[in-house]
Amino acid sequence: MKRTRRVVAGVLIIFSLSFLQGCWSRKEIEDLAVVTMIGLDRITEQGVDKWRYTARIMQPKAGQGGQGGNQQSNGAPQGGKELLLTGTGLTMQEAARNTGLRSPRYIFMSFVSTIVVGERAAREGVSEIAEIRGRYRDFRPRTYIAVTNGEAFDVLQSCPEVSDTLYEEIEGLADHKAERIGVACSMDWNYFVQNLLGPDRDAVAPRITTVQPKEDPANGVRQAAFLQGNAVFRGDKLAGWLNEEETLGYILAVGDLNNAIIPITLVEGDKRVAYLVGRFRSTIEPVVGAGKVSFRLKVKTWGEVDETHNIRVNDDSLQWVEAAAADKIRGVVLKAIDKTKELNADVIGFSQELHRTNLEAWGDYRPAWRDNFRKAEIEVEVECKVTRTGRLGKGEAFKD
Amino acid sequence: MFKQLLKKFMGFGGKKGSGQGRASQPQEKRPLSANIDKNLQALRETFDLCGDVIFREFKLNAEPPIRAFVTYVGTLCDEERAGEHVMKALMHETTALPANVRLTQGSALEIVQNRLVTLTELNTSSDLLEVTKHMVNGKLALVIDGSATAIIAGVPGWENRAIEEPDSEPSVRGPRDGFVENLTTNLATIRRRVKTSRLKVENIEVGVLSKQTVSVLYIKGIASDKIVAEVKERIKRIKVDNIIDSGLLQEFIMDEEITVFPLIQTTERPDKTAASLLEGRVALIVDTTPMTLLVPATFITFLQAAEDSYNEAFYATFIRLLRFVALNIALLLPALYIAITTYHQEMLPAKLLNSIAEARSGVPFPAFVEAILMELTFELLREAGTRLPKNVGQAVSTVGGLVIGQAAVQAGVVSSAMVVVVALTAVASFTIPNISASFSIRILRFSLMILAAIMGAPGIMLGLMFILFHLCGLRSFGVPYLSPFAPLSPSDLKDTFIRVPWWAMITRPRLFGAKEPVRQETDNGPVKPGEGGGSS
Amino acid sequence: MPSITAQNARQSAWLAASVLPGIFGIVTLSVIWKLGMYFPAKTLAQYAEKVLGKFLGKMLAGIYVLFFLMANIVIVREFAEVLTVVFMPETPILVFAALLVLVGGYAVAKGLEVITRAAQFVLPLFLLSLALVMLLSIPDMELGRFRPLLEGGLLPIINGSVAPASWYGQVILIAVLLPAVNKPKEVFKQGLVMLAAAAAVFTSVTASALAVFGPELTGNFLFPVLEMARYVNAARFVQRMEILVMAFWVTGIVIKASVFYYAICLTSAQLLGLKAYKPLVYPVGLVQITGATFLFGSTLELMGFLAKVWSPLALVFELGLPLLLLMVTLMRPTLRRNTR
Repeated sequence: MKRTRRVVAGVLIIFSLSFLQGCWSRKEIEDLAVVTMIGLDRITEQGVDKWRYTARIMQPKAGQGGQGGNQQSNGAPQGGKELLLTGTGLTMQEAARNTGLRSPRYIFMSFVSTIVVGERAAREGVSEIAEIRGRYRDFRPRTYIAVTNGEAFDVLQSCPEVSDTLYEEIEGLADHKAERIGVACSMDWNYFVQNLLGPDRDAVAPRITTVQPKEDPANGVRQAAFLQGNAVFRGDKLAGWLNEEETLGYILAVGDLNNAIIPITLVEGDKRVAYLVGRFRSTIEPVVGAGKVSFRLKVKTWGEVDETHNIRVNDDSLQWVEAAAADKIRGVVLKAIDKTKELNADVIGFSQELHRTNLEAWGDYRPAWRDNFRKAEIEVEVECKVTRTGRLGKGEAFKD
Repeated sequence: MFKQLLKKFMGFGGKKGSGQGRASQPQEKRPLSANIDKNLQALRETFDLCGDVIFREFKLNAEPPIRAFVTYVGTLCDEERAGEHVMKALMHETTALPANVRLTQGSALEIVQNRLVTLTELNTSSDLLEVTKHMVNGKLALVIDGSATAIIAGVPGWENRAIEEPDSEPSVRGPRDGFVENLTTNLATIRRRVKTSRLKVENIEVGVLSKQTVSVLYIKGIASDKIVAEVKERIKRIKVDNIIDSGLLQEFIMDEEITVFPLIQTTERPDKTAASLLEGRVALIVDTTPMTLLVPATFITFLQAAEDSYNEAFYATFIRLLRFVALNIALLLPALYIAITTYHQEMLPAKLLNSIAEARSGVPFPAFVEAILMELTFELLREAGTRLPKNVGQAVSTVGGLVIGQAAVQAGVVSSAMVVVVALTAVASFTIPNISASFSIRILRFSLMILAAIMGAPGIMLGLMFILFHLCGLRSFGVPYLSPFAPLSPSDLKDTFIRVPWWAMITRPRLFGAKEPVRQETDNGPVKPGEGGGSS
Repeated sequence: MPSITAQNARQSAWLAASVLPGIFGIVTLSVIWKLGMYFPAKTLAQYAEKVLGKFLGKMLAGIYVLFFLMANIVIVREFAEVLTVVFMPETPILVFAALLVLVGGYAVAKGLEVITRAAQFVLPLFLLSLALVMLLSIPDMELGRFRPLLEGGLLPIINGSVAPASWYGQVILIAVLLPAVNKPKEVFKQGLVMLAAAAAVFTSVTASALAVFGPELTGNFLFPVLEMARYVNAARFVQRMEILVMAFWVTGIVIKASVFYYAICLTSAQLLGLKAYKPLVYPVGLVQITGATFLFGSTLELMGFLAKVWSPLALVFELGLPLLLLMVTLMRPTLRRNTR
């Protein structure tokens, strides 16, 4: 019984101890500054190179939800739910701290959906960004990465057009929407850092740009952001950009998508046809010759013919469509490959495939793998299939 | 850990067997005498100042007349029946005796017993104390001059509540009768369901000051002898003044001194009792108590309603799973709310986080205080609702639900998210069919809330593990409390979270019905026309 | 754990996690079982005394007490470390360590039966949560990340096998628990099944972490499974699963810590010649709390200790010493005959 008493005493001590100390990690939900997007820039302030850290923070409406809603509708709806804070510092950590100077709340990183990297920061090296996980315990590996061809600060100043908040909009685009329509790749932290760390492949990231929408001046959106094009890295430094066509080539060369909506426009004479790629697969086959490595890239697409200007849909014309589309895609893919060769960065993963399938050849190839990739001959085979014609009947026969 | 504290409350240090307790006074015998005056005197002394005890002296219609008296507790006996079957018979119908039978002082006892009193429940007793005991149990005592033996006749006649639908365990499908405060009625409702001589009813009297009958019911050959013996042994060990309700008996015969979990199942339903008996369990019915005790109890029985057995198997399974979810909600939801909103905000979807933050931004309290406040309010309302008369109780729930909930949110005392949590918890806790189980859930809920406030989700999990270890260590009359899950007995899982169709319930639960494991034939399943037996 | 393996064996970590350690586990199990068959109803500490004589036997038992103690200190510390690093950085390690030991101590005081029953209850939930995370990660898995297999030869695999082997070798606990088992004859078979199951779970966890994160990141992460749970995104709705994983991981750790705790108490009671181990429960708990809180300075120190010192050392205790015992037993035929 004495022992029981001692145990009871011990338990009580532990419990009261924990009460005395307070609840260490306790943070009330309303005390959090929920960061939804981060922008990272390198800037020069008074002759000193600094990091600029910009954070978009979710801003809960004050007061009770129900009552607050009414007041909210009177005010300006745009941007009212998010707050933009920025800070500069010699190190990223200092900049991040300075971001929070004016906010009484705890910076909460668990909801960062996208990291936007400014062009200068990207050119000077993104290894810092790869290490961001080590700095914030609540950072999530599924955070999208985008590089802008200006300053991230500007991008984060954009207003949401469709959604309530900017992060939802960019997240929606980055989460495969941009890739599905073939305008930019989809890249989250996990893939990005794996490509940075891996010994055999270079990283890409989508390019995020801003635009002043002209369609509806009344809705008051000064500036919107969207994804278009790809940024190509060599090592951890930005090497250059892929334009729209090259990006499409990259996506088709790498991709493995089932739900794409990529229109390929085919024009010949007065014929105008849209071949809509719905699904594509690509495989890389390293061909190891005598001391020389070359690659064979096979792309296979399945799609439908949507717009048929001046042709009748029949077997002959479909064959023509398939051949023309294959030609066109081959051209696009080759352009992408040429551009990556020009940028000296193997982002499509030719070297990686060699590494994975042929260890022996990789041994020789490895020491100067980027050069070897640049020198390697790459053959592109494209096969296009039309699975649907996009019509039910034969189509209307208009009189001449 | 409360044991020490408990000892303090127990008053005298818990010295077992010191024999000084007043509850164990020995009772010697006091034989009746052959002299009627002495007997009358003794009984009058015993029932001195008892205004409800009636003595009636009269003479037996014989030559010479024989003195006799009847005595009974007037409030417990049916005066009409006593007059019809005892008084009238003794005073008038002696004339109808055959001529060769002569009523004398010597033969009176035998003749009265065998030829005159027309009651079926008839005993004799020659001990004054026994006579007294029978009288307080509602029996009538007849003492005839010249014999030292009293005739004890049963003419019960007290008021009883009619059989009603049990309030605590209502059902939509299945029988509507519930137990009442009368042992014999209760036994009758069970006998009507279990029509076999193997249903044994052993009466044990408990209590020193006032003896209360406890009936131990079991089916011989199905119930484990060890358990039956253990039950009887434990009941006989009790030495208390009186057992007012089965709730008292329950705490005396539990396995564990301290636990928040009910180790004995209670029910108001005869059908449930009968079903349990058929599974090999033992039922204890205390006279004057509508709550029957069923032992051994396992944790899962508290999540089962009688109705599950009558509804379609699929539906019953669905309901049981639903109840299990409800159990978890009732136990964990407020704790999870605290843990998530103060420690693990990353778990919430961004939008929900935002709306909770919005809702909470006007609330001055931390989430823990908010939660405790609301849960306590709810418990208050619940208690108030139970104790008040029914129509007032409804007013209380209206005030509580609408006015306090809505007003508290508008006044900014609690957030609307918290109200949702409390309401959901409340609804979930009402789905637990057994009241005692829902009590323990409510107590544990508060402990888990404290743990969640200190350490978040790891605290909750550690708390749950503590509870699990505790549960694993519990036994109810030797049967592990968590069976059939731990220790796992796969064949018994057929009537736990799932309920298989009745034709598939071939065996009884292994742990208490092992003596006669097979309940029914294996080929009892439904037969499609044309397939079975060739009858068409 | 997958992280240490992935650092060495890289994309072949799943192989390192299964084959060699599995064999190690089986060998350990058979040695323990053999010993257990020679000395029925005796624990490690008891037959060590018989085999090696009173003094050496006591010493061996003492060493094993220290080994179990250290093992459990590492477990408790790892538990507290994960929770503080990932979930609640401001909370002191002492709090988690104390609470875990308290719960474990309660279980130990209640006896082995309670621990095993609780384990029976918790195991399916634990496996289910792991399986759920792995299933939801399938869309993010890329089998290409396993290739090239066996890059750099076998040596990295062997290096990477040490840590998992020490983990599989924890079947040594059977040497302490065997007398409590109802049917000791079946233990070997069930132990094999258990090892196979453990290997399957561990291999699939390592493999899925690799398939999602690749060898570099898996090696970098402290807790790959947790990151996997964070990475899950099914239907853009089922995400942020780490609390679920953490919750069931906590239950698993509690069971594991209680079993080790029990082993410590029982072995030291037999070492000291006590009839019951209950009086030891609280002192041992105190030692564990103190050890777990103050023995290691930081997470990195713990990781370094685990990878460089503890795993190889554990191998000695798990296989080396029991093998020695078995050999001595076989060399002394009288001993064998007497105890049969």
